[in-house]
Amino acid sequence: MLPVVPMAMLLLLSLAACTQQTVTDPAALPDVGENEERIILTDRTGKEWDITDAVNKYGFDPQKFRYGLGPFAIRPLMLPPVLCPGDAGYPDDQATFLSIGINLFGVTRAYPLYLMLRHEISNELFGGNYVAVAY
Amino acid sequence: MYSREIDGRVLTLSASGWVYIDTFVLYDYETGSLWYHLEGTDGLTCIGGFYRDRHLQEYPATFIRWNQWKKRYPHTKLVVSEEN
Repeated sequence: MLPVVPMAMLLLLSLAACTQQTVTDPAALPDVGENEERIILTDRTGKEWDITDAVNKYGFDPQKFRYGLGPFAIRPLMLPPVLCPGDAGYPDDQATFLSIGINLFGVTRAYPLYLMLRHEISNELFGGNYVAVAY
Repeated sequence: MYSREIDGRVLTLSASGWVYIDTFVLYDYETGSLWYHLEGTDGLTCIGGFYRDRHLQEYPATFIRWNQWKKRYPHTKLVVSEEN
């Protein structure tokens, strides 16, 4: 599953509030409309999202969508750099930060949660397989 | 972790900015399709857009502390910020 990280969302909201209109309620109800029988969510940037299938086929409740920060609020990682053992900045063996560990397709990596909190997704190519690491 | 290949096409996944019941709703840059990890499923389902009803396979990932991961995989690499 992709558990939401409320603190990260609140951080992003507070940053957005510095440059955009004031956001007073991070979990405010979404702007839901209908257009020719389509069900449309409008986010804080004005972008419209068609959720007709999500509602009609999968039983989503439009009123339970939250935040609506817009598609560019949380920028994904794209083939991010890595540190190898011996590199400057490579952590001590005893460090205890939380991470997401991947050992697949010949790739063994750790993704620190403090990094994934900011990006949510890392788009990767592992051993010829296109994958996305998600937090 | 999920596959981001479908019908020979590579997708770029990102957060849509929406959260539904404590779970991020994802979308892909290429088609704007919405993707969500439905409860009881083992991957992402397209809940709206070009790839509606299609599925992206899930792969195993482990939530673990660095020292435990390093002990298990001494030669592991560590992902760092693109700004580094």
